[in-house]
Amino acid sequence: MTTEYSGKTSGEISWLKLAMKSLANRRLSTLLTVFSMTLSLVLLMTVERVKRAAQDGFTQSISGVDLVVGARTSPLQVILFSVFNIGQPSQNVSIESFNQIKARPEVEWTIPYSLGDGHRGFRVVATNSDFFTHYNFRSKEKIELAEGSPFSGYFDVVIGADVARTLGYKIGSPVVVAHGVTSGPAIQEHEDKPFKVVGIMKPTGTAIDRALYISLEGMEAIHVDWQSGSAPAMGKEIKAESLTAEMLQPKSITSFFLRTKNRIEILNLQRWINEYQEEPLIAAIPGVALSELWNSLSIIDRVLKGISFLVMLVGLFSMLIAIMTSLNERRREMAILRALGASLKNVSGLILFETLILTTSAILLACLIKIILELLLGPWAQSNYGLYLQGAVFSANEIFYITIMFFSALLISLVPAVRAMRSALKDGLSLKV
Amino acid sequence: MSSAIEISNLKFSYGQHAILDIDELKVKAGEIVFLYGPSGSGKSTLLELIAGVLRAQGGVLKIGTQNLAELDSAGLDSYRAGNVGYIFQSFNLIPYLSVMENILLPFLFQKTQPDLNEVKNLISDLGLKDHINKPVTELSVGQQQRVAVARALIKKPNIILADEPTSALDYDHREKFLKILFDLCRKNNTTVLFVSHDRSIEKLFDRSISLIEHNRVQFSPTEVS
Repeated sequence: MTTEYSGKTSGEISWLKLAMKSLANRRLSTLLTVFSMTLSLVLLMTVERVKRAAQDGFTQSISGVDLVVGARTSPLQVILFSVFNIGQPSQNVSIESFNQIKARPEVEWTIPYSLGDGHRGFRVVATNSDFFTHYNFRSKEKIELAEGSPFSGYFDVVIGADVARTLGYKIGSPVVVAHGVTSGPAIQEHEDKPFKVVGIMKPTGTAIDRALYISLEGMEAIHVDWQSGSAPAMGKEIKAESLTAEMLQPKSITSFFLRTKNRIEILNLQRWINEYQEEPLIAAIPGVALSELWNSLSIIDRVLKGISFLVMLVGLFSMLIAIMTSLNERRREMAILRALGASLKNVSGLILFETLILTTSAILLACLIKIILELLLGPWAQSNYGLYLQGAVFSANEIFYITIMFFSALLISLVPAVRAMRSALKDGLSLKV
Repeated sequence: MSSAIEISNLKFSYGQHAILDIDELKVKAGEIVFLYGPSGSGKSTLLELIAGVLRAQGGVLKIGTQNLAELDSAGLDSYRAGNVGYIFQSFNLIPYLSVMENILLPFLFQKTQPDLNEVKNLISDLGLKDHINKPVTELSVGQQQRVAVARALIKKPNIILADEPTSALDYDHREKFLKILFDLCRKNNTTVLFVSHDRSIEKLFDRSISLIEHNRVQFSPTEVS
C-alpha cells in the first residue's frame, strides 16, 4: 500500500525553511520591510547613476579644446549651445574674425561650428574636415566612422550613431534639413536641396552621437536664396545645379573650438579675444565653465542623496520595528525551539538569519529594479536629457551603498537578536501563554 | 535496574527565592511516573532542570550516567536535543510549519538524519497519517497533542518530559492520549516523567510521586512564580 507521504520530501526541515516560513507567516510586515529597504536603495542608486551620467556627459563630451569662442554672451552659454545643444546662440561670428583668430601664431587648430538647423529632432552641425581630424572626446578619443567617409560634396551628410539608429538611416539615405529647429517638429524645410548620408559615426556615448554633420558650404547652400531668415519667394529659388563655389563661401559661423600650441598662452589669448575690437566675442575655457556649472548642480545632488539616505534610515528602522514587534508573539515559538535543543545562540541566530534574508532580498530586488529601469528608461534619458548611461552598471559608489545597507541592517538586527536571546533565557520552557 | 533520573540534594532558587530543595528522588529506566503537586510547587522548574534549560545551584542531577552539572551550556543544549523529548501543556507546535515539518523539527539541532520508515510507523501509530502535509492550525487540539508526541519521540529520547499535556483535553481523550503515549514509550523503554495537578489520571501510571513530599522548600500558594 502506498501511503500519502511515502517518498515525499516536503517535510524536510532546515534553518532556511524555518526562517522563510516564519517570514512568510508575517507576510505583510515582511513585504513592507523589503519594499521600504528596496525603495531606499533604488533611490540612492538612481540618484548616483544620474549624477554619474551627467558628470560623464559634461566631462567627456569635449576634451583637448582650450577655448570655445562665440559672439558675446555668458561663457557657460557659449559652451552649452556649442557642445550640448542646450539653448540658442543669439549672434554669429563673422568669417573674417574667425580667420583672423585662426591665423594667430598661438593657435594650433580650430573647429568651426555653424548651428541653427535640425533634422527630425536632431541638430545639424555645419563644420569642416578639421572636425574629423581634431575633435576629441573622453580622454583623447577621436571621432571614427563606422561606415562611409567624411563629407566631401556640398550635400553630403555624416550622421551620429544615435541618429542612424533612431531614424534607421543607411549610407545613401536622403536627409531634408529643417530650418531653424534643432529639436521638435519642423516648420520650414529645405526640401528643395536634400542631403545624402555618406558616413555614419561610431557611437561615442556623448552629444556627438545626436547630431548630423554637413560642410559649412552645404549650410550656405541651403540658405543661399533665403532673405533675412525667410524662405525665398516663388521664382526666386536658386537650383542646386546652378550653385557655384563663389556663392557658397561661408560668411559667418556660430562658434568655434580652439586649441593652442602651448597651454601657457590660453589666458593671454582668451583676453585678446575678449577684447577683440572688430566685434564683441567671448572665449570660454570649457573646464572652468563646466566645473562652475557642476558645482551649482552638485547641491541638488547632495540634497537628493541626503533624502535617499534618510529613506534608507527609514527602511532600516521599519525593519527594526517589524522584527521587534514580532518578538513578543514569537516567545512561545522560541520556547518550543529551546525545548527541542536550540541553544540561545540558535535563537538569536535565527533572528539574524531572518534579517539577512530580508536585507539580501531587498538588495537583490533593488539591483534587479535598477537594471530594468536602466534598460527601460536609458534610451528615454538619452534622447530627452542627453544622459548617456555609460560604463559599469554598478559603480564603486553604488556598491558602497549596498554594503552600507547590508552591514547596517545586520548591525541593527543585533538589537532584536540579543533581545530574543534574553527573553528566551528568561522564559525557559514554562512560558505561560 | 539502572536509574534514568537520579536526584540527590538538588537545590534551585530564583535569586533569594528558593524553589526546590529535593533530598532524593529516583526514576528507573522505562518507568512511567506521575509527578503531582499544586500549581507553583516547582513542577515546571524541576522539568526545566531535567531538560537542562535551567541549572541547579547545588546537588546532583544525573540523567542516565550523565551528571548535568558537568556540562557547559552548549553541552546541555546538545544533551537536550539528543536525550529529552518535551511535551508542553498546549501550543506545542510552530503554527506556520506543516505537521511533518513540526515532527522533523528536532533534526535541526542534531546532525542525524530521520529514518523515514520509523517516521512513517510513528505517524501511523499516532493516527496522523492523513494529516502530515496539513498546516497544524487545521488540526484539533487532540491531534495537535499527538503531533507533539510524535515530535518528542522521533529521536528516541531516553526521557519524555510532559508538562500537563492533557489539561486541554476532555476525560475520554485524556485516557486515549495517555494510552497511546505509554504504549509507544513502553515499546522503546522510554522513561516518562509526567507532571500534573490533576490526580484523576494518576491510576494509569506505574508510580506517582508527590513533589511537596520531596521538596524541602515549604510550599506557600501565595508565592506563585
